[in-house]
Amino acid sequence: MSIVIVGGGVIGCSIAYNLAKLGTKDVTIVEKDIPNHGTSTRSASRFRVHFWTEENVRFATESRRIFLNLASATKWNPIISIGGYLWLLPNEKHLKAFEKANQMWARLGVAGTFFSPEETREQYPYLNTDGFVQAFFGPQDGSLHHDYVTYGYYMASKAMGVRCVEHAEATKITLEDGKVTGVETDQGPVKGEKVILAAGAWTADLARTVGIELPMEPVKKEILITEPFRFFLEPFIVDNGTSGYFGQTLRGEILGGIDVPVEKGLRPLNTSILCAKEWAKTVTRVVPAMKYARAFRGWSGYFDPTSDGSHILGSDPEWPRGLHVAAGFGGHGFLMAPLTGEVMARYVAFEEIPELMEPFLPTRFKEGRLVNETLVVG
Amino acid sequence: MIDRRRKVSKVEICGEKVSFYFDGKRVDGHEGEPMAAALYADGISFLSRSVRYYRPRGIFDLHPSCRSSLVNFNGAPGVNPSEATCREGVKVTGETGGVPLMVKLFSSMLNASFQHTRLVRSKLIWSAVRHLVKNNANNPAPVFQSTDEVLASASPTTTLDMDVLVIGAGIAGLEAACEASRNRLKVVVIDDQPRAGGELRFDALTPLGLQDEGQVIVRNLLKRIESYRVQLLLRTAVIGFYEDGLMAYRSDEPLGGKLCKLNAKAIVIATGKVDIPSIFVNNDLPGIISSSMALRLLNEYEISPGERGIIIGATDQGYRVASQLRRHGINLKIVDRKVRAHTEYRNLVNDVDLILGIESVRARGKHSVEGIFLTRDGKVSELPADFVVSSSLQSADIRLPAQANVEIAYFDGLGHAPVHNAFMETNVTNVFVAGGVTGSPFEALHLLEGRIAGLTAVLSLGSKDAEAQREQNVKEYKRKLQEMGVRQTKDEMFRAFDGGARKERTVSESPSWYSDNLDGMQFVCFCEDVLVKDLAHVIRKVGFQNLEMIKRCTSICMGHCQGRLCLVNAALTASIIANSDPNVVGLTRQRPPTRPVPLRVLAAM
Repeated sequence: MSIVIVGGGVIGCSIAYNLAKLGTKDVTIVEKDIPNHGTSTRSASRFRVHFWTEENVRFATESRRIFLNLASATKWNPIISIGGYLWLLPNEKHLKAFEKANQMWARLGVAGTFFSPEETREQYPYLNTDGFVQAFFGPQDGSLHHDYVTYGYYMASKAMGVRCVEHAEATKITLEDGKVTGVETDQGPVKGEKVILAAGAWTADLARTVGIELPMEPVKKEILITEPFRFFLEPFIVDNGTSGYFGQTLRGEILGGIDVPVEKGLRPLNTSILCAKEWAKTVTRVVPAMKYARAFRGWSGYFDPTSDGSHILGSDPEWPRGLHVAAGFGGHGFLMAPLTGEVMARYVAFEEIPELMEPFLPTRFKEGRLVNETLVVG
Repeated sequence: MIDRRRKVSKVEICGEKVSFYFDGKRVDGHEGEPMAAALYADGISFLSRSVRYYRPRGIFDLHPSCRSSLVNFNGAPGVNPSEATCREGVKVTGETGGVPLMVKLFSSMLNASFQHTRLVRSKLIWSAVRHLVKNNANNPAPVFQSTDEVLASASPTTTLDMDVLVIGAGIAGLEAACEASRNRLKVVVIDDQPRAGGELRFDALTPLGLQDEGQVIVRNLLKRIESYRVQLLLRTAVIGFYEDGLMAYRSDEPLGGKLCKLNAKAIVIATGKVDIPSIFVNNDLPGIISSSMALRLLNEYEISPGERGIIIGATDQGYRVASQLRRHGINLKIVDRKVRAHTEYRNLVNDVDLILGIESVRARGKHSVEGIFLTRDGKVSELPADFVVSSSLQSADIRLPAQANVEIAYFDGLGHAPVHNAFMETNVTNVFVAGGVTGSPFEALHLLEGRIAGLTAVLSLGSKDAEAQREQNVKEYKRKLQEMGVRQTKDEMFRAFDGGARKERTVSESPSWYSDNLDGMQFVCFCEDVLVKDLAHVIRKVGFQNLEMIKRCTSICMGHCQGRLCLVNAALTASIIANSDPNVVGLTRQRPPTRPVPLRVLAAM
């Protein structure tokens, strides 16, 4: 069985790795630039298990378990650091929502703790405690080195015989008798009996070439980073009031982003002074010591959110046979990647539907089984 | 006690005498003079320790963008002593103490192969190692207490409208400004240095193909600039091409300053060249300085770089520096790997020892450079020195054109440079280049390029009058290229602009390369302590050849200077190790800001 994976990001590489591990011989990744380029490398490199929907919590929790053992699997240390997430809740409405969710999280074994502003100050003396009623701490969440995760999957799958065609942009899915035969690229055709679209924000355009409308639209997001400081900021801070978020990397830089109004679509990947300003305002308010930090640089990448905020995995019986999608993660692709690779590989190789994957099938949109996920950061 | 100040003092350049304190020791300087210069004059070159290996570090280049060593200024961390000027009573703290034991034991592990060493693959060991990683990096502590007294104001953003923006007040930029202004356009020239004139403002030599000394050429240009009423903004850095505008940042005080939004119809980028550090063992020792720093100390601040120096690179620039240092009786030797050194400036310094055909250089010294070991014909000899000028490679400062999406490519004889045509146009509409940034070697060419870029800007904004003038200048430019022996090199560039086929090439050696192995402490990047062997590991063991991928594994170009010093060295070194075309290895993506901007300044916008 020959399989073509469109997209050499973390999702594509993770699927390729897992397919190869299941013994699939003929796997080709088609990447329009170089591996780990489009969106994966622009990640904020954080993972968490706290989502609004049970399906996503369970998916992320299992993904996290795989992350913790990833170093021995891929031989690349993902530089895991479990410092927790600290959500600053600006009003009672946010607090209520988190209290309700925490009951579900407790049931799933990933409960967090609430801190009053006083308790927060005691724990994190550098935080300005004005501006939030309670803080929610999720101790299971953390960070890792996104590049090493993707390169780990990429290099390990290459070692198992996966091919990667670089600098080949897939332009069209090719069909014959209602069955996929591969993809057309600007470097010529790449043949395969099965095609997996793992092209992040570029997925919807590609699906459209065979008349499939996926309910997703790319949005540009920006990340900023400061000069490095001696390590002091253990948790990742999310300021729910402004949607600003930031944390400290192991190298010492403060890294984060904030939502600013932006036109949808694949807009040029540059950065804006507006985002820098809004982020600086949030960071300097929440951690006043950061007034004296200097911004080093920023970059941008695409989110690919779906209409219900959850990812799309698998295929639809009405689609051409052999066509699969693994996209629409809306900013959570990196943390969902390990499990996505496992379930997609089993789905494609053995045509079985693992339990954790079932809620995310593309058929959910027409069947009205949406997985409404609104706890989206950055 | 060392005093490197020359006895005459140019009061018109430097202001009143002031004293400040470095680690409790009184240092005399002048108002307006960079702190790094005053410290150097007092024999203080070891200012801080590096981030990974805690190596002694000093100032490599006196440029405000060169952040190879940072100090604490009245409680504010991370201040660049090349950017901060001397002020009365200021307390500066460096970091010149010993190295913690844990670092000595542990730091050698923290190299590029770190992510797949067996040790850190174990979950248990990793959690212990993680603590060492986060606590061992030599970064400054954040300022938790209120230090309002050290803070200057963070002013709101202003907006500046103009027809033509010229980035860089070197001779090319000033020429471009004159031409555009003469054709009745509103022109603003921006430069991050304290004075206009670029590198030639502290060059007492007559550049090849021109009639006057560098300083005189600059003086005459400045007079013309003044008569045309061109607006000149100094100590202001254009920090980046953002989606919502082009921004400049001016900081008079550490952690203060203001941003300015620039609305320009056409942009001439004339950011000149950067001195690229030569690569040899211990090339990061304090006292190893750029050629530009040597001339700037000597001619701008009347400070002698030392008594006995070694110049690495028998290049045009090497000889220019040597001839000016010789006028002040400084003892010099020039060394080069080449067996024959051909330079137009050779006859300027007939009394300087020239040691050619060497195999490698290794610097010696505990806290600053004390000499070098030379290997020649397999034999090692030692040359004592109290300073070393690293001037074997100058390369175009391509960070801003790259940010503006101008295509950058590698050309033999020019290095990495923005692709342009003889009208100085680039692939980006209304963005033009001129001077050193185009890769051209001689000042006589830079002047003409500035003139042509200025006229092209005029033409692009709709005035037809400049057509004949430009034609005449382009003709003169092509004649000059021929005369100076760079016609072929530049023609390849012009053909590339027109979409001609690109020549495939490999580079076998880099002009900055002065080592005979890959295993020692040869630093490619000073900010992040990246060694040649780290690059070699990623290229040979991991198998990555693309500079973006190498960057992600080594953190090259991610430090304080944003790749100003390491980008070209990393690209060339990677091309040589991988035996690959520099245009395939590529460069890293350039991202704003080019100069770090305090969050309080951004927040105050």
